[in-house]
Amino acid sequence: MLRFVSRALLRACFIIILAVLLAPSAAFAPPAASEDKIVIQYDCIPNYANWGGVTALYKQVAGVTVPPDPKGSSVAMAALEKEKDNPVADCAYYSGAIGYQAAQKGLHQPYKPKGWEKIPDSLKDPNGLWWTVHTGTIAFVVNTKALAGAPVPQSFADLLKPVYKGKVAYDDPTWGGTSFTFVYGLNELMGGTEKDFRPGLSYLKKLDANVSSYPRESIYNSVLRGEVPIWINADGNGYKMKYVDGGPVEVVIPAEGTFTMPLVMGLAVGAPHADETKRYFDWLLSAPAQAEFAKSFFRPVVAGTLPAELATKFLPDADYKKARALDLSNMAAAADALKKAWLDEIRGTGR
Amino acid sequence: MSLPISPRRVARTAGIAVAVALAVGLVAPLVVTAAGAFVHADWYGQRSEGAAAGGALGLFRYVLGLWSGALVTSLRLVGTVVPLALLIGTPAAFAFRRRPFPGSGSLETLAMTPLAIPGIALAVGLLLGAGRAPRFSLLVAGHLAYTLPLVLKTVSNALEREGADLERVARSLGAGPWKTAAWVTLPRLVPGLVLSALLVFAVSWGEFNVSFLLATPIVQTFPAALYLTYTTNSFPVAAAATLIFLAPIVPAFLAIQALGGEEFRRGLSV
Amino acid sequence: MWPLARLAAGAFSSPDAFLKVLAAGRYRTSLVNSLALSTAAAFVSVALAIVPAWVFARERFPGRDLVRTAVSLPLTFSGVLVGFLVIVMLGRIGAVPKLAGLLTGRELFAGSAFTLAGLFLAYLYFEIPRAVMTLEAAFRHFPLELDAAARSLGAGPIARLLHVTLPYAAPALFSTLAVTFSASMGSFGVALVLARRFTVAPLEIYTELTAFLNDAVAGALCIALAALTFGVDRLFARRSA
Repeated sequence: MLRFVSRALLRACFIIILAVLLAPSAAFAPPAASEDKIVIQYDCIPNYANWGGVTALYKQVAGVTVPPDPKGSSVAMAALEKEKDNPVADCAYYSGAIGYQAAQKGLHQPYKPKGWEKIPDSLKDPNGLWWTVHTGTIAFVVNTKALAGAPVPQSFADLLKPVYKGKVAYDDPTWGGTSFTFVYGLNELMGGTEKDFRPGLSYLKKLDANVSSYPRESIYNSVLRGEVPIWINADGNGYKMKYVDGGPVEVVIPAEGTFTMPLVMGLAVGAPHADETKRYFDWLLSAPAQAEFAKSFFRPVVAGTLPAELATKFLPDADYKKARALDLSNMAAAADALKKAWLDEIRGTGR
Repeated sequence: MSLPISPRRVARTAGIAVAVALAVGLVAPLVVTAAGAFVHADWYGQRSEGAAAGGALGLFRYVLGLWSGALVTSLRLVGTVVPLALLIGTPAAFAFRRRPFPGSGSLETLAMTPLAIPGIALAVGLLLGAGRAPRFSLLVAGHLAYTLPLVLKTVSNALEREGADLERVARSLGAGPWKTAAWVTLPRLVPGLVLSALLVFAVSWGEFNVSFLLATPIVQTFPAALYLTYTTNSFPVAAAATLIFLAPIVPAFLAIQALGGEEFRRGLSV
Repeated sequence: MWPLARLAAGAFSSPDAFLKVLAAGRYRTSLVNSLALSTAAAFVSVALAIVPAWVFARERFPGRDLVRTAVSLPLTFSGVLVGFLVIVMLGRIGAVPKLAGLLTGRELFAGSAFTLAGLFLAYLYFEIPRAVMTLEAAFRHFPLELDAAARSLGAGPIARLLHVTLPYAAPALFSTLAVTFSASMGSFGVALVLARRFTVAPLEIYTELTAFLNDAVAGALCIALAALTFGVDRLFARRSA
């Protein structure tokens, strides 16, 4: 019986394969990705800051495809550097410090999108090498169901308690910019400076006992599913899980304080689709795009575009008073050293 | 004194039970995955993305919407690699088996080595060595490295099994070498060639290590995209994508089994 | 062929990369891990494969073809897929914990997919079909007459096992070990999806290449990995001639 079925399937396969082989290769040419209507953005994660929704909207509005790309900020910067002679990317999206660093390395070309004046000075480069598209705040994203009875942590000190063993995660800071911001900021919070990483690293070393993993790619869905109970990441992701996806998620601003994080864009040197990308940048600062970002609870940089009903869903302003801004140039200067120190201290033993 | 149940019977039944248990254990995850793609249970967490797509096939349509580019790239790749592998491998097998020349033995061994090299090493070699070349060509090169040995092995085995007698007869009757090859050897090789084609298809379609490293946002194979669905999409979407991936492989595999599992096993173990 | 030469060229351009790789630390640990994991997976999967392979080779029973097909299907899966399947079964909200929760009220094994045990299990899932199929081919041609002859000469079961069966099976077992070992060493997709606190060489290679642009180190790691794989493979292969 199996012989008969497999023989019939064999014939079917043969026909399919023959068809694939005989059809001219042009028949399989990728459909609408013709050279002009595409913008390659490194670090375009669909469920981070609603890039999925934003790029889908842009496709509707302008007919231009911006394909998803899972690279974290640092990986994006490394890729841009590697491809200097043969650029593939048009632009990149980063956590502030890494974007600043990339601009310093000469990886961006200047461009001031329409609406440039609306961006506060502290959130853009005077020469147009990078600019903030929206901001977030570092917080605990907690899946209460997955905590299985343990109390929701309220502070960094709480996280060290043994009850959270194996329940904490933050992205690998050598890959993801959000995590890098967290690690740098935490160091400052614990009393360190851009030259002295010991306070921060000693806390992280203690936290390591409770950490289950240092993922290299966004674990949005893992947290939502309950695979990871506590994720130290941007508040916006937590709000989205709670209000859009309806997950049992709470966002907590740590009692000791936290840090705001600008998220920036830069136009790559030698971008293959430079004109198209410039139009894309212009659109990203427009009201519809900013409102679309707001849907994932990342604060739009253009004042007044955050819809009122969304504004109420954030934690009270009193909590946000504890969030301070970090100095981007210091962060950029310390970036390589801090990443290496983190690798040696935390990942170093080859775990 | 003969026992009512011989130890041999017990051993046999136990052995069969083990085999069946193994089969069940290996297939169970697939069943669960299929359930996740079709059954809209809340078991597997939130379905924020698939929620927009309705109906039993909605998830599949959603996946195709997101990743059709990768699917097309994979098809193009397979469509290129299969003919190329056959075109290069068959004459090579001929040369090695029917007309060995000094050094052909070592050349053949050399051609087989990629199978022993970890895929990622090959991919890194390609990137470092020929980074400027168009990605698609690099992908083809990488895939060929893994599939040529398969073709060589399969066709060589077929050649050996068929034996050179008929060819000798043809030659003694006056037919030239090309004519012999075309009219005598090739037709008898057809099952072997078909098997090779299926093997190359299966290997190339599922290849991940090399493809993942060489992927860019525009040129991506489906297995690489599959990885992205696992990390960035929700479970039902990932399950649907998995099923789409498996759809061509399962029939191809069954066909390979039917054509002669022996070849397959020998072909896959260097 | 020529990509290997390019690879060598790339790695050798920076000789101290090799030293960095072989010296203690993350890289060396990853190589050692790869070696240990692959060897363990090879031995365990071959051991587990012996019974099914024998049964497929020598016994007939209804549904045999179906069972055989089911066991060999995973041969076509890539590493990522296997990793995903393990998560489906053993993740924090996987099928096995859910089932255990229904049956016993406690969600056993939740999250075990991401432990070393889960990773090992994934390697086994990857390798056992390969081992079964390779062994089966060898067992097909196993001369039972020798065993019968030995029995008729009065040899007991243990003696037969040691002096007849094992020597005959040894080459096949070694070649199967070689195959499973090589496949495990090269396994990247599985580690990418599942490895959390445990690192293996292919992961480090990937990291060096994409996050750090450390081409020289990535190349050196590749050569080291390839050399190790090749070396151990030859070791097994020599016993299997």
